[in-house]
Amino acid sequence: MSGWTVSLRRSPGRHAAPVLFTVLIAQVLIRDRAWTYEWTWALYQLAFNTVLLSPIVAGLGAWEGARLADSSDYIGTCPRSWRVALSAWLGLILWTAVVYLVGVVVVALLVLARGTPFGPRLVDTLTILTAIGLMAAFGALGIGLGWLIRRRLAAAPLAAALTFCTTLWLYLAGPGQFVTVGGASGSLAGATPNTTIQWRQVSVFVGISITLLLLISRRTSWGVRGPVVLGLFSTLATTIAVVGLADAGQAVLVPYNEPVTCTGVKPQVCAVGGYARFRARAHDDLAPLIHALEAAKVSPIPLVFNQNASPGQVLVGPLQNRFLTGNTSDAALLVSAAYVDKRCFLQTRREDDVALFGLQWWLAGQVGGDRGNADLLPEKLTKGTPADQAAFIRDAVHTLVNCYQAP
Amino acid sequence: MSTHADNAVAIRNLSVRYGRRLVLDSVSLDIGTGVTALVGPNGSGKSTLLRVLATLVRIDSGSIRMHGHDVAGIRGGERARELIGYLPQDPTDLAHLTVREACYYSMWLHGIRRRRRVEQCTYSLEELGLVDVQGHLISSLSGGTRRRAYLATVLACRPSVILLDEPTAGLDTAFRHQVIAAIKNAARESSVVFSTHLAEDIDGCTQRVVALRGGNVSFDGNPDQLVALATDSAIDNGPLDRAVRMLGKP
Repeated sequence: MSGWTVSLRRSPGRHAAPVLFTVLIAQVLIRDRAWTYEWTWALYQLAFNTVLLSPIVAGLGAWEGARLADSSDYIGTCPRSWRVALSAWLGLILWTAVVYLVGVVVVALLVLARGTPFGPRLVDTLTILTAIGLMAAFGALGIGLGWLIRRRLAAAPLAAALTFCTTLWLYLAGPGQFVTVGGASGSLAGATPNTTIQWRQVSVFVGISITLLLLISRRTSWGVRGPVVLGLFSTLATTIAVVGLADAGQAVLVPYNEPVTCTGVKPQVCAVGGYARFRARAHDDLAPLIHALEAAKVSPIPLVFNQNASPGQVLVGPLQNRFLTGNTSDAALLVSAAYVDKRCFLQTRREDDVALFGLQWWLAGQVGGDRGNADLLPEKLTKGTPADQAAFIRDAVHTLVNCYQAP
Repeated sequence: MSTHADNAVAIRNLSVRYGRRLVLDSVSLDIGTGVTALVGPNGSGKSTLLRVLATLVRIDSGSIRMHGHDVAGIRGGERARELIGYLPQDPTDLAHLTVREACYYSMWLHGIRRRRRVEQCTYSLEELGLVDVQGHLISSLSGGTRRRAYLATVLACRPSVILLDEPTAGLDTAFRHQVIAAIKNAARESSVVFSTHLAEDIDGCTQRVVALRGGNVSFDGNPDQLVALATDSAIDNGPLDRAVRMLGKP
């Protein structure tokens, strides 16, 4: 049995693993599970747990650090005293990583249970790595704080509170890229974690951990020479990594042209990964609306609906996850959204508003859906002949395509 | 004072201050293989001397060479730690480990190879009567057993220089004999320096007693020479005991 094994076996991380796991799983199960259709979103959302787990890990680290400080006489006479802090940190982080990886397995099972085909990408591995890296850095910070404070009951809650407050502050007011390793309230179809930031995050987290452990080792014995050179090198490398991460900006997510697969004609429906199996149903819901536009001699008509499309592309309509996964009443909204560029200021000109609501009212009527309030709409549309209505719709589409935009 | 060339530890004009207080004042000693007992009243500098030798306290002046390495220097300090086994007066470390785990952990820190760990640890545990409690957490043991467990972690590493601060404190007679026997056994290949207030620890265990008083060496000789110094007839617990008590008077 080696000291590594002993440290792993007796780490406070082992005793706290059930607590860490409960927090992790509770957060996964309590929240809305729209992410189960996307691997990247699922794993990125799981990484948001670091906000809750990091304070616990830092608190455990502080407990361990105070214990080490209590043993400083013993450690100070040992020839390889650097092993003490390193093995304590490794024990804690390995247990944290095990808990986190079990969480990854649970999330993966939930995603697979939803029917989403297996397909995590390399970037998802990087997301897992950054989450564990962040907790590792906070664990090292906790050990350092515990070593300084030397009283376990004071050091542990203080480290936890400091970590939580620092994380929140960085999220809300500071350079968020230093703690944002996950968390997305909406779909990540068309977006992906910024790998440049992720690699820099990994460098910073590893650098901070190593530098802190070297500093602690330096304090264990007055005559430890090795860590001085290594410590200077590590401090320099970490400083460079911190500057690099600060320089990378806060865009933790970047646009991503995720490959889509398409089905059908008039319209052709194109969706990414986990949503691909909903394409046929979406086609069936959209086709009557496209046929109605065609019959009304509207031009142009969106003949393709793509999950990666933005509103207002006209020939290519957008697809929302909500619609794809079952909310078919949104079909009319999606078709009308194809004509409305996101730069349109609809409420500035009354004719834009009337055109949009009129188009939606008419489209909903073509498939027997709920039309809603027609008070604002002209009688030419609401009480006119089919020819009058078709003429109104052609005008409405023309109006929307040429909507008022901000100068 | 011994001046043998093969001395494991050579201390010359060693002075240590805690703030303004001079705790060790120009101490010079040579320590070779065998057992050296440190006696003296509380505050005489016994524990400080052991802590200095254990590289825990930096010296203000003088020099210490351990197997040729300058303990006060950075490189020499690192080398010295390879040679040292130190049992503090009130150890609290490793209490979260079992006795055997603590033994392995200590040996791992001393760089002892995996194959030798099992053999050396088992030997020390048997020697100190700890086999029955080897799977118990140190924190769960009674004070005396805990002390023996810590001693086992030190002896299992088989260091060249063993520094023990009151290793028998709080032990009953049977366990004290066990500990003394283990110390004598270790001293066949190592230099053992231990502090004590008990004559029984010295009797039959060591041929050298060093007494400290006010940070100075007040006596350095064998137990018989120490007895000859004892003149206080008011104490009737035996000549050696009288001598130790005499030296222990502030």
